Amino acid sequence: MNNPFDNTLNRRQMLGHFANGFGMLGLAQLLSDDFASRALAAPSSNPLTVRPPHFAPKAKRVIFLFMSGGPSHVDTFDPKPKLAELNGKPLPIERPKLERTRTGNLFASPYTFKKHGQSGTEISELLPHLSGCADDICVIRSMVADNINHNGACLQMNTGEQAFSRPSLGSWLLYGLGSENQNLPGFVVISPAQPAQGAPLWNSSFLPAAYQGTLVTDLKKPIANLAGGSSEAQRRKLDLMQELNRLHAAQREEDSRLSSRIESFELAFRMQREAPEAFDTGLESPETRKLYGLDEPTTEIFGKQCLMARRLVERGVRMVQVYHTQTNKRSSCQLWDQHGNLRVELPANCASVDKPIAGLLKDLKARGLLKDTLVVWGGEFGRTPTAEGNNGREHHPFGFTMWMAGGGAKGGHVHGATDDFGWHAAQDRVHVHDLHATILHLLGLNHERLTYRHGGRDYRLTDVHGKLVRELLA
Amino acid sequence: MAATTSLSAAPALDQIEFFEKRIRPLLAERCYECHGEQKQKGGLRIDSRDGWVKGGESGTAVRPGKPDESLLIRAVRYTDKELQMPPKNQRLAPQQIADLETWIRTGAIDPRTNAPSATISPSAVTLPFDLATERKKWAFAKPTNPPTPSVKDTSWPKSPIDRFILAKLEANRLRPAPTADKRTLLRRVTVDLTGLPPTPAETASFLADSSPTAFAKVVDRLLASPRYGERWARHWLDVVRYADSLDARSLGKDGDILDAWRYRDWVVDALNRDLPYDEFIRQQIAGDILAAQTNAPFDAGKIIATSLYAIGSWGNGDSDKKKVYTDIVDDQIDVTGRAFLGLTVACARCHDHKFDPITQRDYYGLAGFFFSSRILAKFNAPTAGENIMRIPIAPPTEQATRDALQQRIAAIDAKIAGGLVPFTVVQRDVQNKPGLHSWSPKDAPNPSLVINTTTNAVAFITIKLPARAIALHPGPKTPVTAAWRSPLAGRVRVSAKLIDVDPTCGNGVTWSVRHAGKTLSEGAMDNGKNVEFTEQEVTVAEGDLLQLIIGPRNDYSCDSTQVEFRIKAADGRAWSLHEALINGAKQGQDNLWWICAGEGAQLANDKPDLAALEAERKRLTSELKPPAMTHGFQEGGIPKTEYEGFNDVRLHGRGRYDRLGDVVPRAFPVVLATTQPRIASGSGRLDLARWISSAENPLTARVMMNRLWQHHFGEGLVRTANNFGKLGETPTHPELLDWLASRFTESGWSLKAMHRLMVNSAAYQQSSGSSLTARSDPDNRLFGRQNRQRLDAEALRDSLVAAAGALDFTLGGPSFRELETPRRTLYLMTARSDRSNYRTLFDAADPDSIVEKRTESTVAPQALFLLNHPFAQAQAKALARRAAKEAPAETTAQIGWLYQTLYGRPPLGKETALGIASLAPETGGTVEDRLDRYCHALLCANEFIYVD
Repeated sequence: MNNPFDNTLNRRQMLGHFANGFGMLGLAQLLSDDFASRALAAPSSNPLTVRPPHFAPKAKRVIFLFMSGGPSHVDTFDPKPKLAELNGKPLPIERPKLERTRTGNLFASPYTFKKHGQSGTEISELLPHLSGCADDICVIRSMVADNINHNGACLQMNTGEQAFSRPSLGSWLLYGLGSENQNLPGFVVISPAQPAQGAPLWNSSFLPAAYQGTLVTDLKKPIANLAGGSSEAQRRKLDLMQELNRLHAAQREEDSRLSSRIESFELAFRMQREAPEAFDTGLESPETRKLYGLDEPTTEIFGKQCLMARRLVERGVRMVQVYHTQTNKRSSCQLWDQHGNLRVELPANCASVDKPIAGLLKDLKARGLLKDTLVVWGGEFGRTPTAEGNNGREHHPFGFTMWMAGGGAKGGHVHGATDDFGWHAAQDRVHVHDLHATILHLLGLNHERLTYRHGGRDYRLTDVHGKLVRELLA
Repeated sequence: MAATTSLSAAPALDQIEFFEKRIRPLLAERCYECHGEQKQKGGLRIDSRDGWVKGGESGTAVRPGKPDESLLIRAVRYTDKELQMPPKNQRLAPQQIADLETWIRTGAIDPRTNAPSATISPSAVTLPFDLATERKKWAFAKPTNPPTPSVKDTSWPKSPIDRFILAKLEANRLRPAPTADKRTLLRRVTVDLTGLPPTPAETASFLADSSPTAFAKVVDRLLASPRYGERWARHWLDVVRYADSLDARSLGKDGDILDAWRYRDWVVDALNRDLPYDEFIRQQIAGDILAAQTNAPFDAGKIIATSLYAIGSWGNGDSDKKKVYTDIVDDQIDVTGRAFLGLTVACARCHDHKFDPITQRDYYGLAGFFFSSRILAKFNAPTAGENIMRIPIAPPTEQATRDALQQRIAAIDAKIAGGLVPFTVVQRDVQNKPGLHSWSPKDAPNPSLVINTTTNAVAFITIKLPARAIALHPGPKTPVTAAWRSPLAGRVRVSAKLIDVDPTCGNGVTWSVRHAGKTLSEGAMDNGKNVEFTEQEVTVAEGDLLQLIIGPRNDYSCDSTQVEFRIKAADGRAWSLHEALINGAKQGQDNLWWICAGEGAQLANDKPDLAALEAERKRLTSELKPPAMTHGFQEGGIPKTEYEGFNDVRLHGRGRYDRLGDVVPRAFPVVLATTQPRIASGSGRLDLARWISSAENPLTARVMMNRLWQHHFGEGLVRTANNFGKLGETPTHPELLDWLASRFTESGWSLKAMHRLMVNSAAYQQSSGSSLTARSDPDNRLFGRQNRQRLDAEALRDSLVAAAGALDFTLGGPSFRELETPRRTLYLMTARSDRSNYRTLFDAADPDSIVEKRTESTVAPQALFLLNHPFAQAQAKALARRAAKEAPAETTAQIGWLYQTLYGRPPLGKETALGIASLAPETGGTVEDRLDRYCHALLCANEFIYVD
């Protein structure tokens, strides 16, 4: 069992020692950075305290770009000449037992693919900017998930489990590693509209509540409960309160819980100063804002989300999940759910994320952050190579595409393949559990050792499954 | 170890662990599919020890100690072209192969001795554990009634509980902490039993009472208060994953758990009237059956109580409805096991429990009770979510009144709805497609009719409508009718043809052809199919309607059916629906063709007295109040599915409904039950309820007494309250736990009696600040002091509103959504989709999980909330206004009043001085500002949130 809340004896003893001097420290000292860094180094009841990984990590942080609704793989990253050849013909292989609705005949991608970069990775014409980053990305064309509905599939992609409540990937990372910035939430979810299923996707479930994602929906006012009014007035209130606490503590024997609550108010005070700045994309140069497409209506929203993500990881936030749920034309919890109108909506979606994502990758690289920031792209599943109506595709978890970049992922590499029609993952299948195991590995965590005891058993992100996919590692 | 193992010596535990951790999952994941219950390729099964010993067509698969001679290893190494497993180059990872080699080299220890396809009778089944041994383990043996131990210091104990505590302390050469002072005690017990701080008047009265029974009187007063039920109901709701709503975004819509609050109110009421705990259990598991007993007085509460099983958490909305139902049952077994029995029975869904003596058969023995009961009336379409069943719970007299009213309304409806409502909304060039027209009723897009008047096929939405064709589209609940009103009297021949033009969507339609309300023919048409209704002769009167009706099927709303409908008269005249409409007909042209919503025998516009009927209907409807409804159990599996009625279920291989094994009779877990039920009729849930609530059950009373102890003392006697199994902790005071369990059953399962017993003990009344045992017992496992407790999310908010003097004590009812509502936090909306809320911030239970003990985090966002959230600021301001009004004007007195009100004590000199200094004009702002600030600081301070 690897539970940071265990070892209570040691922790409490050490805290007792630590807290001994606490009451005597003046508030000025409390505020000094030196004190703050020592406070972080010391064990405390702060569940976000940095903890070492199992082994040397390649990545220190994750940005997960989530295309809500399920992006079509055969129109973006998985070209299928055979599908073009057999366009309009029936699917020549057996269909799965359970279909959500019965789709029609094979539906060739209306879009062309070209090879890009030195690696020659094939990418659809819908993503011209991202094509310029082909050598940085590691495309996985053989993803497999287990659920054909948004809810179950989104849950699985985020928590490993389709039906029941489990901690999300970001929560596991915080539990395993803590957060490097105590003045900001350690796991931030940026989504202008709530994705399907909502909070269970970033829930900490049975892990302590401090590990759950902080949802930002309002890009203008991202963090709740930051002070209005002057910070001087608040400082006075805080001083008074801490003085009351000091008198309270003086009447009692040492109790680490009392001193960590005092600490939490000081952290809150500092967070007020730091958080608005961390989220403020207005502080970026015009060139940077342009790089992410903030100057164009089509790319402005997602560009802002991506730029926020970069500002946050730069400041030590462990994981940022960026949900694509809004464009300047549409807002939907399932933006990439093209049951129909694919020829209109898919190019629009691609156009709204293409430049921002390419901008993010270039910017991270230029700042030297890409090497230890893992960027993951994908949705909850792909879409059928067969047609729904005459301009749509159904949900498709049996074979689809995701990609990773930076953070120790093998750039310019294409892993696995679907069959000729883009239906089943046929070669080097990567199940969601395997992806999770690999992400944890890149962060220095062994997915079999990152466990938490709950309700009588040790739980893992990967349950009893998952294997590291070494071919994805640089 | 295993009773039937052929190994001579018991294998070392670490070898078993190696097998469980590395080998079993590997075999299950990569081999069982072809070499397990379902398939035995090459005659080999590898899902039990016997399987590989016997081997397949090529002989035994594993030679213990000799990996190089084992066929299994040869296959996975892929060195032999003829023998490569898993096949098709899906090789195992090198580490996995190494694990298999290690396993075989070290003797191939395999505890899976229970062959999955054993015989059916439970007594004949080989158990993977020794029953007699397991039944002797502390949790599975019936609680004893141990004598109270003797102690050296006989002056300290106030209750037998204290002797158990003191004996352990003395054995460790420790002393209990001194008794807490009266103010501390009063605040502790008041928060503990009611979730609220004591009022200054209550404090004064307790301080003034110097009688030896002063504290006991306070306890009686608190237990008699309705606030008690509100506080302790929340503890129970944590354990049963209570939520008010599945998804805040669909709040109040079909499919949400709209009536969950009735269950919450039932729990509050049950606790307040001290419903015996055994009955509390029986009503939750089988209240619907108890309520239906003929001699029972009407009690809607019993049905409401079973909502426990309907408010669960599973993958609502999955397309795979059989998986959904299996998951629902799993949730039901999980909550039954953990809440009532403190046992993780649900671990045995896919395989025998790895640590506890619970087999997969035990699991499916229990599953039968739940598969034979239902919380869903039906399976919805694969594209729709589940609708949790709602059951009317009006008392019989009210129900009779309702029935009578409903009959009268139905009679009027029959008169009105005899009518077909012609479509009045006509849209030309649908989706900018010239020549494509649609007709529909007012206010709804469906039912509808679409006409393609062009000579080309037109594609739109998911439909492709051929040239010069028309299609009818029913609504989700309403059929669409094409009617021909006969201009003649005599014989006509009628024919029709239907073609599904929307094969990729929906689930087919129902159809019928009628004459003057009489059905000539009817049927259902599957998705993508055609139906032809061959000519039939009918005698019609002038004005009669001949109708073709297309109806919805299984809730789908995307089924478009191309229709042809022809009538020929004996005199050679002929009419065709599609020709008439395509050639530009208008609704009712020549009074011949009518396209309508509904399926009556008469056109609505033909009715003379429609207005009068509608007025009468409106009047009657206003008298009909919406019926009270609840979620909950009904007897029998979901109708019209394979689960209908009462059935034992088959073992589900790896927990999957598509890998079924032997039928397992409904039964209780073997290790716990000495007798098994004989189910004569019904689901048997009442037998299950009686067994769990019996004093003979070794776990039930212990588990509940441990929960009570945990909330009174901060930690349980067993520190894993939902797991009394092997992976749980053993009790720190097993005799005390047994003694409490025995008192509990003896008291007639009275929770209030047990609260009284615990809080009146000297152990409970110890000081929390004592360092006497802090060094030698840092985790306080000996309970030689009280544990300081933090106000939980509910108690914190309630205390803030109470400080503002605004708390509204209305009991029960639907939840409120606005944090500002001054009611108790118990009634604040809990939605499973929303985790960025007040409750989550302060560590309230995750409404998706079964929570035995809340985590306690201390994080900056909590501080930000208390400092800056308008709600927190408003409470501080209200407190300041209250102080200005109710407290004496003089500053020192005002400070004193605030300390008494918030902390239940007078301030120390230093504290008064600090108050005076911070309220002084030099600190800036107006008098009001300074008082606001001071009050806010007092509410944020540690003393407000921690209870000594």
